[in-house]
Amino acid sequence: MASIRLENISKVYDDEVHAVTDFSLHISDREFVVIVGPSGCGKSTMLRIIAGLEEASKGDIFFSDKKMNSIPSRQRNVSMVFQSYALFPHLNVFENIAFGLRARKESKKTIQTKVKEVSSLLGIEHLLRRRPKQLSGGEKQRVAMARALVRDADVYLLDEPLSNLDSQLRASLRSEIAMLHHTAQKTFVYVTHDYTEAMTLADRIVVMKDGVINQVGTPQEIFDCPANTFVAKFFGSPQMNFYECRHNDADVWAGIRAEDILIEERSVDDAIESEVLMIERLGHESLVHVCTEKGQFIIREKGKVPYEVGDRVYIKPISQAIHYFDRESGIRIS
Amino acid sequence: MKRRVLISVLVSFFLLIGLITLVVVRKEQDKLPLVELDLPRTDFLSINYEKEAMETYLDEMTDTFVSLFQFDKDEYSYLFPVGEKVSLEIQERSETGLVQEIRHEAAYDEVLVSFKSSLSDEGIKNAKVLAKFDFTSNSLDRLIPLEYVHFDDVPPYVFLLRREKGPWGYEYYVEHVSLTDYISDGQYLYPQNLEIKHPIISSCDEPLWDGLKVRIYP
Amino acid sequence: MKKKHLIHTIILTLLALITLLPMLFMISNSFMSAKEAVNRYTDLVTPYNVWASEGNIHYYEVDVLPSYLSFETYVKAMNPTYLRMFWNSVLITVPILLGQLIISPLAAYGFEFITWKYKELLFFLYIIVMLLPIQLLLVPHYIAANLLHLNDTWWAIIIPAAFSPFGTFLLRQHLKGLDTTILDAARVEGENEWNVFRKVALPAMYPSLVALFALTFVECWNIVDQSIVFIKDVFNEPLSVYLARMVTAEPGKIFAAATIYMIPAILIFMLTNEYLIKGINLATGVQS
Repeated sequence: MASIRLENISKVYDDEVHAVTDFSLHISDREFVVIVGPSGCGKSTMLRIIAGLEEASKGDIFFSDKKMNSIPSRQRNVSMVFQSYALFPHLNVFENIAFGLRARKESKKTIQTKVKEVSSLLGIEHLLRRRPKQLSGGEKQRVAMARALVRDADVYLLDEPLSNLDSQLRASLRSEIAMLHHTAQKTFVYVTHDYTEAMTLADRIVVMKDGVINQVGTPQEIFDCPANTFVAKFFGSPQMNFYECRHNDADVWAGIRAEDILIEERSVDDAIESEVLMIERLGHESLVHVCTEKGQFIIREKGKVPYEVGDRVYIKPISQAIHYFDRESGIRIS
Repeated sequence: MKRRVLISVLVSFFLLIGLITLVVVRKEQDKLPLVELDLPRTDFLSINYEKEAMETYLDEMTDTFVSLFQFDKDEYSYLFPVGEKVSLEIQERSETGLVQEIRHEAAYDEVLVSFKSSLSDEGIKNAKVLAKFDFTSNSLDRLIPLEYVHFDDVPPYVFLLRREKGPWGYEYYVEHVSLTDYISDGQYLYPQNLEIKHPIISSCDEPLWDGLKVRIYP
Repeated sequence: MKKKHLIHTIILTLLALITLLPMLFMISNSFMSAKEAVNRYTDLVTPYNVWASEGNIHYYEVDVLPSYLSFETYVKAMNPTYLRMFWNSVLITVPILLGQLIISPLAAYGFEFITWKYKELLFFLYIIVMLLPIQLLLVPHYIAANLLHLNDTWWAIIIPAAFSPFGTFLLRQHLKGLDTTILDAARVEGENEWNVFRKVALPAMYPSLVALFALTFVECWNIVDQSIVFIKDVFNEPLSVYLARMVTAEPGKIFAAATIYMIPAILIFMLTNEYLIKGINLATGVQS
């Protein structure tokens, strides 16, 4: 049983830098929570506070209703995977994985079996005698994960583990992490700046910016119903298109995703006239950049498009798919 | 691999030097002659002795008589320091004489005592001059047993052991100490104007000389 | 290209030989019998060995190689006094090394990874003390040694040197380049702070530690300033000082004595060669 409850966590560094402000979250047992946000938004700090490597300036942490504020990392029974893998350079792979078990004074036999088990799960048994500097990025990542998994921790924390890998490796390891979560049946807290990782892995996503939670919800909720312009812009590639508009007698920002705009060659009612600036042909889809009087838009179309640069086209956003946000605060208007 | 070799070379170097140290130090000690030691005795010395002068003559310069007393080396021999008063008996008359000079010859020691007398030199020449050497020490003295005194040289001497600081503990050297003025009662010798501060070398298998390095443990 | 390379090699080899010449000279001379050494280096200027004269200056021939190989001087040099001085050197060097190797990593870890008030101020003081010449520090050390009644013992030399800030400085600079996440990883894996230091930080400092070992060893083995000031008893001097005494007293043995003195230093240098370069590189930040 490992639920985490974070109540009003704030972290201030002594030069008055507010890394995290008033962070409250309840994570259920076996949930996969992803904290996502741009660099420097405080997500790594938050993870370190959960791990016990930093102490919160204000607020409380509870692990299964036990107050954990002043309990040091080694007693919190958490496992962590770092962005830089943090493998011990002077130990070989076996010893790296076994480090936590040795710290807990497990017997030699237990260590042997557990390390072998985890390393075969992650496909690295052939690397057990090697040193970290002899491993590739992906192998190092697997070793780091093996080290985290070999102990039976309550909570697994992952700090941008895939950021240093190339995209193909990233994709394959991403699915491996998802599978691991399924087999291990433990609470995972994952931090990343990549929204696709968040979308694919999370049970729930926490969007952070400048130390403040902007939205908490399932991936679908966040995608369909972003709480403010920042969340809307962050999720989706290409970014959501924004334009000024008037809605219910108020000046608002209207946001429409690239896939929710129709392009017509001929003018249809309410269609906006636009000129094609650029077309990115990606094979399975095309991204059409157009310029209108309301600004530039990017439109996603399936397959090939018959347009050329400089063509005059008419674009029409699907009205049910338009998101409205308050002009000043950026907060969603339902 | 190379590291192990170097470490073992380093360690064996130091072990080698250690071994050499032990061997060299021990060997050097073994080469030194072994001496036996004894300490001076602390006792009262008291002598009461009469000696007849061998000859007496008149010293024209100082107008005093000088008696010569001769002592064998292995006889009771005692010598008063120069300037000490000696009570004399000349023809049943007591006089006081003064030790003028002490001469160490090869086979005997000579003490010259000067005195004034009313007798004529003729009378003195034929008279029997008896000297009473009377001495009692008034404090505990450091007496040298006579068997440790070497009489093969003039003046006689003892060998003392001098201790000096050396690289490995103490080093011992022979010190030649001449005994010029002394009083002896045939068993012990009580040196004058000399304080025996070091142990006496009682015996040694090998010949000794001043400054020789010796050892005291077998 | 090749020609340039060859010229460079020749020049460097010559320079190396010139630098090494005194040492090679000494080693070769140590194999001479004592008499030969004395004969050669005292004023034996005869018409036969004068090579050139200019006024009062005579140049005369010196052979580098001995004409007759003998180990005589080595045997003679190993007299009890020399050996005692040798062990004096060892007994001064070993405690200083132990002290430095124990205190410096702990201090460096404390300065780098633990935050406490006035840390940087204290480190600044460390640097100042490190930069002061040893002669300047001798007077305060002497006064302190007097107050502690340590004046004629080796402790007056050992204690200041064991706490020398150089080790702390070197190790801290090395630690600055370290990836701190491995310490966090160790903490999360369940190690207390002491074990984090012992099992993770210390192994990471290893190259610098070895460099420190080598540098401190050479410094202590050749110690002269402090020993002259603090040690009065002739038999407590380290070999470095005694060697100087020996030159005037016994010219025949000096070469062998000096060669024996040189051997530990060379061995330790050979051992720690690569780490020395690595350690200094990491400390100054220059990559090789």
